[in-house]
Amino acid sequence: MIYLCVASAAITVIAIAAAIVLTLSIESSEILAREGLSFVLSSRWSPSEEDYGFYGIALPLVSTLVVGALATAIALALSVAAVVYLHEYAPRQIREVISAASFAMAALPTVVFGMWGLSTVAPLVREAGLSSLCARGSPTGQSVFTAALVVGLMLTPYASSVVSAAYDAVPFTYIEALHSLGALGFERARVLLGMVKRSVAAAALLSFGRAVGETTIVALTIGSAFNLPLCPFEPAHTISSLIASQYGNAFLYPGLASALSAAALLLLAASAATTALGTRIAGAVVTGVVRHESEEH
Amino acid sequence: MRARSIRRRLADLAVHLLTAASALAILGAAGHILLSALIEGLPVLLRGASFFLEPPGPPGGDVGGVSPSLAGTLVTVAIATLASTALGVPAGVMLSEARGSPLARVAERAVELIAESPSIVVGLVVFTLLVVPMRTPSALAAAVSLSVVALPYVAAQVRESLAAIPLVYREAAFSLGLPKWKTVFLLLIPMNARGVATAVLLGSMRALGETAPVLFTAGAAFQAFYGIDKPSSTLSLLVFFFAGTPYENWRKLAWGAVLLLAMLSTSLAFLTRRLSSGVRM
Repeated sequence: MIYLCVASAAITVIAIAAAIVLTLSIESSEILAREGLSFVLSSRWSPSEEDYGFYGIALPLVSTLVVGALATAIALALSVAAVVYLHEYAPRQIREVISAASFAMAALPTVVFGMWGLSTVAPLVREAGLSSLCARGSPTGQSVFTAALVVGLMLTPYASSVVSAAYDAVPFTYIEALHSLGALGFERARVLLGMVKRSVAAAALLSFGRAVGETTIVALTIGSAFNLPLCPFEPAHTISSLIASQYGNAFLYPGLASALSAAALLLLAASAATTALGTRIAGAVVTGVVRHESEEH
Repeated sequence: MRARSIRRRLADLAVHLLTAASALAILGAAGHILLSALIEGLPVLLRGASFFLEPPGPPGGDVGGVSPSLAGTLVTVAIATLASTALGVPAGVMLSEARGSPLARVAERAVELIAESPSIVVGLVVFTLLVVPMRTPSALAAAVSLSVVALPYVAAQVRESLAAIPLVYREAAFSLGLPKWKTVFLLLIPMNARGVATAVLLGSMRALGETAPVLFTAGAAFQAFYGIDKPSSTLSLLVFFFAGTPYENWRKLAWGAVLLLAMLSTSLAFLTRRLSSGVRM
């Protein structure tokens, strides 16, 4: 009886996951059958044209990867540096202040970051004259760089918790050994980061997976334009911001809903693949450390 | 020898400064976000009753309040919390207690897939499956969308907290002749009430903060709360739509909502941490 209840909950969860994949597949089959590979290879997006319109998502696809990579690089650089600082240099009080700040930051809804990005980072980018560095620089300050920076900041507490957990899990004997050799902070960090480099890779993959799917921040800060993001201070569209801005009137054009569903399916695949890989690597690291410790005793 | 030592010290100093600057950047960003929410949002919140009880004023006119979106948030988050608990707790029990069985393994994969889905994708699916047949976006569709997003967090947290209970407690229950599933619900879940409460809070925190899943499912009814099966809105959606408007009064409302959301989310997070860090046994 109890088992039936528990099992039916599990089956419902499976049904929900299946519904997500199946719905997107069915919805997107129309556009994929019609456009084929040119759906991802063509850069022509023009739903209002002729009787069916053109649906090529090459530009948003590239922008998504660029924003994801930039945001991941920012999050990783900040979080690895912060983890090293907190473990090797910082006095205890500072460590507590920074971990409290990062805890609060992790708790904030993404729309708060989006509002902040729109009201603080975008004007900063505009005032600093960064837009004029690019041919089609953004007049509002909303750009690929703005979006990547805010998403990167949003991901920083997340990435640093992954790296920090691995750093903490290094057996204490290693740290003692480093100290007894007279290693300075950066030398200890170099050795220890070398030991946790798999976790750093996992943090990168997990951050990338989240950055690719992030919608709220990106839609508010990227400036919504069909543009090849060769220059970071130009506005663009990612797949998620494209869905956010166009799905609302998808019923107006015959192929738009299907095209956006196919885009969502692509997003799901990219996010799921990187996150799953990241989780596997992170999991492998954890078990690796546990085994290591038990060997020692 | 001396030159080498000086070079090491200099390198150490450089790394020290560089990493400290990064930590400072994180601190500065977090501080600036919270401070701007406070500075811009507090005057709006301090309008008191009118902020909480009135609908938004006309574009460019009076400030008004966010009452319809607040009502929408309360309703959708409540339903999403209930639904994700009702489904996530037993699912988490399944994942922990039937580990390795074929059903649990597939369910584990399903929970991972839902967790990996970008939340906008969930919104799209709920739109197709619920909003289209109902012919209208609604608070209910938004709540369903938010439940799906919160579900994997609840299930994973329940699984983790159950897995952390030492085996001896199970052995003791089994030796008394208690069947496996009774052990779970009569012993392990009550013992682990904090873990389950943490899971529920985590789920509601997710539901409160998410914007993308309700983008197409809630509708954009900021002027009144019409009922559960009618177009509705949430606070996060209000921020999303009002943030970019040129109307001063709507941007003020967005800041007020930002501060409210930030306060609710951080207090939920602190509550979660206190619950989960407490001594369990």
